[in-house]
Amino acid sequence: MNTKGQTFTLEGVASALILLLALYTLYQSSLVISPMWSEAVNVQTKIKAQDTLKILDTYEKVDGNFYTDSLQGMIVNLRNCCLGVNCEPNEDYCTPNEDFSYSLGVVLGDYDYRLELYWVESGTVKSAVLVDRTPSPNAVAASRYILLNNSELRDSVFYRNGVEDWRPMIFEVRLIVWRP
Amino acid sequence: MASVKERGQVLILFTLLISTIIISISVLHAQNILAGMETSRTMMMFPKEEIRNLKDLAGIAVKKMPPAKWGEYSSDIYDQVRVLYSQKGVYGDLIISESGSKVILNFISGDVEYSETMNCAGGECK
Repeated sequence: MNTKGQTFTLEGVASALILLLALYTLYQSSLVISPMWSEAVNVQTKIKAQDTLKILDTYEKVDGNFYTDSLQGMIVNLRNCCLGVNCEPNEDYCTPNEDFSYSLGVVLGDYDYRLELYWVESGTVKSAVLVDRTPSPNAVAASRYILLNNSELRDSVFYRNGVEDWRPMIFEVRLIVWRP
Repeated sequence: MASVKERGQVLILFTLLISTIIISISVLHAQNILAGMETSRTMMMFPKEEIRNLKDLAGIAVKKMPPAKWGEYSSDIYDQVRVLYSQKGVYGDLIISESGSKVILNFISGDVEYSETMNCAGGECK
């Protein structure tokens, strides 16, 4: 009797384990909902983009000039070029300086990117694409807002003649990042 | 034969009992994973970087602001921040008040409503 009882118990445990395995597989497969995981991956990419912009955002100056590979230095050094859709065919489109492009590439590593700039002129938003690459469907965007006075924008394409030096101008630097 | 049948029934009953316990535990386990994922998702989606960026911007604005022109400067900042945020479907603004000693920050999106008054006396916002 004792032996039989033990056998029954073992059988019970074994069948329960089989059931558990089946149920566990079922729950696992129903839990791993793909949109949720893709969202988690998107959030990781977004954090990477946000961190990159934060690293490059520095208001520190050397000899009165922003670092050329900072977001501020990149904006200030957009010179002798044209922005937006008003460019003539023989004009140069504005692109970030080499130092900035190098630093951005180093921080982003394997990721590919597109860089856009937004600002406000007479109450309306203006925009320019500084690095024009076509994002993949899983691309993620992050933004950083930069504040520069008119005096700091001297010689750049954003300098406003006849406007006081202290007048502020806010730029949104939008970085769109994806894995190639 | 009768006794063997009864033992069989007992075996089935016990199997059902143990299975029910295990199912309950696995449901609990599954619920925990779901709750954990939802919590982490909520934390990850909170626009903390946007709000930090606005706070940084407030500090920079107060440092760059000419004290004599704080009213016009504040108005310029307020208008531009509002317009730039509006194109992203959220409301954000910075209001510099009391000659630049206070900055009010507002950020309102579909999920989050955030407002903070920073003390910026002396050029450092806290």
